[in-house]
Amino acid sequence: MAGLGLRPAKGYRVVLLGSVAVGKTALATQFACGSFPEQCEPSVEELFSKVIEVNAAPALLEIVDTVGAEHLVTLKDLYIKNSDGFVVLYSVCSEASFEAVRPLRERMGRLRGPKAVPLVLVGTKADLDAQRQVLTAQGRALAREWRCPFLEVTAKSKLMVDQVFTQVVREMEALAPPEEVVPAVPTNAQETWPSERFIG
Amino acid sequence: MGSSRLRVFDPHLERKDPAAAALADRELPLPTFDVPYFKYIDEEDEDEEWSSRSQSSTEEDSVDSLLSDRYVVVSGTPEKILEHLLNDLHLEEVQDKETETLLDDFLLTYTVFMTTDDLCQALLRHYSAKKYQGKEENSDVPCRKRKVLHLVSQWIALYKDWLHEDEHSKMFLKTIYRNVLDDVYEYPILEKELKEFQKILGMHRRHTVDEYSPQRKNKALFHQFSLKENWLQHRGTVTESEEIFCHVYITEHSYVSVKATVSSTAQEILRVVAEKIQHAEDDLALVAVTFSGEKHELQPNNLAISKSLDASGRIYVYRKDLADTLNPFAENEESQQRSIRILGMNTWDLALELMNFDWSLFSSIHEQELIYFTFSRQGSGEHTANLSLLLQRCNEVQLWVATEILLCSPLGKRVQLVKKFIKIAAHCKAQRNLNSFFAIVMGLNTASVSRLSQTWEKIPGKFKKLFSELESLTDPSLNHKAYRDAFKKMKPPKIPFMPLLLKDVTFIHEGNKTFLDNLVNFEKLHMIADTVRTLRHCRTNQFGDICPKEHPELKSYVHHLYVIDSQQALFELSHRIEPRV
Repeated sequence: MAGLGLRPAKGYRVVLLGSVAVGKTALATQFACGSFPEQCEPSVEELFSKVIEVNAAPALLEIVDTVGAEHLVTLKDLYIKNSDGFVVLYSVCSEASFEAVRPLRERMGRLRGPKAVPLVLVGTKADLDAQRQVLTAQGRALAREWRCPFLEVTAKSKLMVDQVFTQVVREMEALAPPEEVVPAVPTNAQETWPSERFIG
Repeated sequence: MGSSRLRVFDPHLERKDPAAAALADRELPLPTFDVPYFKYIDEEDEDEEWSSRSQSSTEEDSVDSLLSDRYVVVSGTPEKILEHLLNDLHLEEVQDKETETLLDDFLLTYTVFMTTDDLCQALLRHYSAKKYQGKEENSDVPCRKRKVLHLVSQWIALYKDWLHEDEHSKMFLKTIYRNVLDDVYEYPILEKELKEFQKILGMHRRHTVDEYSPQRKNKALFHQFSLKENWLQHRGTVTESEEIFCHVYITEHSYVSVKATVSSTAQEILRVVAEKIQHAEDDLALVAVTFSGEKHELQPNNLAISKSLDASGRIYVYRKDLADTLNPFAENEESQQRSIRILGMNTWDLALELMNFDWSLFSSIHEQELIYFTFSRQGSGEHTANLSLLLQRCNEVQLWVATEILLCSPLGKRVQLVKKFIKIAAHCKAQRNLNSFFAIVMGLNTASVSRLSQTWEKIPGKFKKLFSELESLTDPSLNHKAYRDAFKKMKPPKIPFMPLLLKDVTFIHEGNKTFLDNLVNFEKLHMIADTVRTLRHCRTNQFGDICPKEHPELKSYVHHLYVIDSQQALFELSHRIEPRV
């Protein structure tokens, strides 16, 4: 990733997928701004990148939020092939958004071939129970079909949002091919961002 | 939000006033705010003066050196903020950048923390006040008046028609105009401001005199009648030539997006739709269907869009059989012989017409729409009509690309079509229309289209390469760095990729608090105002004559897009034309 200074050896790119109005931006905002009191400016390159700790080693997590497709879940094949993990989002208040994500898993599987598909299924706006259109059971059933973790969250809760990313990193680690030794980060390496513990 | 009482902050008080000095000596509790350089001071002390430009706090907080470069706005009661602003305005020279920005920030975002009525009242008070505390002496009464007028002129210039539509500002403008007319005798120096004022106000006098003047140029705003989903919305007064957009549904999930006028008849709309779906006009009829399912056929000379239409209804086009019975179209029963008209069109001209259309939408967006979009609960409604239209357009172009491709069953033609769309996308980029550029690329990348492997493998290498380059501009990694860098370099006039702009503004809103313990977080408002200024920058330098040649066929084609808006339906089509192996 261009433009970053010294960085941890390991990097993960996680893509947020889902139709508009499911709250991808809210989730991404919570991820980006949740812990920082400074002003959150929208166009900063590293806005959605954070140093996290995975198995006691620093790793860079970048979340990628696609924008602009309202009725369609659009993502380049290239992304599906080359990203490390996926967070697939739908809103519990929108049946349409739930239907929109269904075709994804199959397509991802086919595009990636033997490569694993680390993904987490997330139902957003879980706090808006009165407007619920998709039952928890439905989400859970789909997640079982996809063999992935399932969460219902509200982007308002930093705790919940952190959980989403903890889970997806866990999936990526679990499904990763046997790894060669990760080179240690040089001792004079500077952390550009305050690191966060995602995995103890 | 109304007029909240705000606390006043200033890290460095001007110690002219003994009362202020006394205050400063007092021990003040320093609350922990997210924005550390504001300091809390009792708002009861109306005698305070505020230094107009403060150094950033060098106080106990470990403040970033970055903060010292930011201007520090003094907030307070609306009265105080205004006074601060007016103090800063210079009349002779050009405003310094900071004050200019501050004024712009204030005028763009005041609705967040005070009502228009509040502002009007305050401005009148300032205008009429006989003596002031503050830096000026009493002999500077005309000076103060001129400053108020300057602010008002800026306000009018920014808001244009919107000011006219608010009762308070309408009354205010009349009042202050009268005051100035009176005052110009006593203070001839106001002459210049009066003329300025008259000139600006003159553009709006037509409205105060004659609300329904036919000369009113429809330059600024499209009024939208949209039967999209469940609401019929319209804004302000509507004249005969007012342009409207409506969706005429073919099936539940497909429609033709029609740009018409309020006075369009059913006949005219039907003609447009018939051409798009390539069906004989005589065999069709427009039917208004209410939410509850009642159908009502529109006669040829009926107005297509009338206020009596059920707000939650839709307009459908039905087939008329020989017995004149009306039947709806079934889903996906498109004829296999659909002619792909777009293949015969000049690609560059097509892109130009797209630009023409998009530009007319883009240039109609009022700056305040962005503010409303950000801060109001629903984010939609009559205050964001033009913004919504452009967003909808982005969406429709994506769907249009997918629809056209998926309705093209012959493989050879489909390959041509994909190549064509790749070229159109390239032209959109060259013409600096990034909204449609993104839309076309996303349309080509949508799952139902990108799975057409038989089609894609027949695309020649150089087109694949071109597409790959275009795609790289849409790469969302590093917060859309590729797009941001490229767009920044483009000279205006240019159209941004709207969904990202709105995401940025949403992000600013969700990631930063508006009020911090009754203090207005001006930094946040400044960031929002910055986004508005981006919009403004994009629209400097109007396009000259975008389309020197007339292409009525292309124009009509681009104005009325036929789209299927259901992912499910698109997938079905996709599997039909290229079944899974």
